[in-house]
Amino acid sequence: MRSYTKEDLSSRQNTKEDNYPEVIGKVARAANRHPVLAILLVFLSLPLYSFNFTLFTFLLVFALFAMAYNISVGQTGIVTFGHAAFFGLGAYGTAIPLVHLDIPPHLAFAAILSGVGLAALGGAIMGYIALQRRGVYLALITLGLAQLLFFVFFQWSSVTGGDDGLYGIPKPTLGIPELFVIEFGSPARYYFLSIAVFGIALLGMYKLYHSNMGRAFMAIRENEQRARYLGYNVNRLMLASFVLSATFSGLAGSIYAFHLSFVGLSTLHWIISGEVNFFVILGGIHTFVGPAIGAGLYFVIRDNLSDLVSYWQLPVGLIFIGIVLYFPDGLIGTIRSKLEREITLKSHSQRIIEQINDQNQEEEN
Amino acid sequence: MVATEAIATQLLNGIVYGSILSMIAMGLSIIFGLLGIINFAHGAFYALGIYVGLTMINAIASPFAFFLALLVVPVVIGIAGVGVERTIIQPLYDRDGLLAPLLLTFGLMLVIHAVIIFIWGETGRSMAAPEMLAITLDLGITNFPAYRLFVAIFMLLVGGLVWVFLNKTELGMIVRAATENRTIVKVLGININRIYTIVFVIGTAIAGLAGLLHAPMINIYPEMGTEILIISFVVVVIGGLNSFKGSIVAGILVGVVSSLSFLVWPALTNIIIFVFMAVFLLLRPQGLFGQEVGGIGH
Repeated sequence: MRSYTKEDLSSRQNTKEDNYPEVIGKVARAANRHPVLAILLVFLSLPLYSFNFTLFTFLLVFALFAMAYNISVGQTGIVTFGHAAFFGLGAYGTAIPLVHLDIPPHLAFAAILSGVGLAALGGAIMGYIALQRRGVYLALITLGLAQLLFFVFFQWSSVTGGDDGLYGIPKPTLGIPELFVIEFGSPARYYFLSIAVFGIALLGMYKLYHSNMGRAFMAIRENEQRARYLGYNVNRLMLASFVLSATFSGLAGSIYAFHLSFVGLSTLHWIISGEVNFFVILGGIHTFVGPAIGAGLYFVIRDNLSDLVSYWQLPVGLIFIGIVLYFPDGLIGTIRSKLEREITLKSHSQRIIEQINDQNQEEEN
Repeated sequence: MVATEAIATQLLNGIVYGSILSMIAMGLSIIFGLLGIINFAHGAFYALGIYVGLTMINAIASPFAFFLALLVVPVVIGIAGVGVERTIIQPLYDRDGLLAPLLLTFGLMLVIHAVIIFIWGETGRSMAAPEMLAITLDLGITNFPAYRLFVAIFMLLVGGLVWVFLNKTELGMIVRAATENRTIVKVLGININRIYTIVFVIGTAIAGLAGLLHAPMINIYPEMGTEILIISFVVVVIGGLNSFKGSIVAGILVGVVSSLSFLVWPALTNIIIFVFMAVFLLLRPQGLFGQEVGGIGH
């Protein structure tokens, strides 16, 4: 009887792709090829499951925020602890003109631009200062600068509303007044508007991910020194990555401001900076869609655990510790590698059994 | 002169506050230097020290209770530190990357906050300075509370002890060596995990002690540690995470800047420290002493 050598086993390892159950495999491969479409389809199909549009918009905002932060952390390797600053700047940048100026509703949507612009400006200034250093220092500096912004917004209450925040942000409308107007007052309508904006942002981020600049970001992540020797202007590229990440984070904040009709200091709080890091870790750091999945998972786990205990700090803290300790590649990464291993192992043993049976039959014959 | 008096008082206040910041930043530095971990839970250990001290002082109700607490609190917080280090910090040592330790200790911080709220409640507390130090000393230029002077001197003592430990003892030598190159220390047959535990415990015990000493000057609430933690981060950004001297000098510097800004515009105190950090980074991106060789002892 023939014995099975190591080579036999390893040669079969390459066939694991084919061993997924067929439908799942097809879906997974399609999603891999068209991640933007896949994410949008998921969000579009959420209403089939329930009508909690408020929650869906909330999830969409943080999915976008997580993906925006991933431009910095996943693509370029810049860990920050101050991304709440850009989320908050986007939210306040939208809210401040809408609350303080008399803007007609059909132009209200333009306040997205002021939010995104303010976040980009904040990103440029904070990035320039923080990029004086690298690594853990950079993370701590961004935390300090985000706190600076937090306290400025806290003190400057004539503009920012201080501790009370800014109330009464109108839901936007689109169209020409008295001719053709779409209102987005209801949560459902606003949700679909958010998906549209989200879709445009996704396309932008996807293009960036596969652009030359995006690849240069990854080169810096892998080895900053080598990228420098190759002639890349590393400092400028890192700043560009920082600003782009801040811009998309600001867009998330802006959508959030319209969604809640309110902006408070919680959008600038450093706990948000911690959470967005966690979304990315949870979903997998070096993938395009991972962070969005991480954000969704985080809120699902948190809300289920929060029902059990009365202090939010305990479940959130335990999730952080548990995931870091037991799922080093993130929840998705760890589950995927486990599944793959199991499927390959199972099919191996099955094939071996089949072959042994075949051989036994041959010998009998 | 009222102005000179006010400036002198704030300067002294700044030095006292700075001495506390220095001790916390030093703990962060020695832990980072050896373990490669930025301990986000450091502020939570500081707060835990305060609450443990508060309970002790209330239970004993003697004029010497505070001084007894000064001895017991570091031990209690140190034991908590051992527990944490052995269970959840140790698995991180072999891992690469910045994010895992950052998020783990961030989670630990939240858990400690929850524990404090669970045991002591969410309402704010306050702690009185020990009676025998609740006097004001006439220093010539200005009057100054004796307790604050005591804090600065005590912190100086603790800092001195850590310096002696790092530079004059054999264990300290191993710590310095391991900060430079852990692999070689391991190769020499030294149980490096024990060294890690010792350093983590020293760091957390000092944080608890700093908390207790700081407590009579501030409002006490469960999340109070985060405030001083973030300011300590500013200190280590300026002073460097690899330098004993840096922690001390930057700590005093930040303390004094923060105190003096109170004279200019009280609302500005929260903001000025971060502005100071930003300006400092633009003027001197390499930090106070730059990248020094020779390890954590200096």
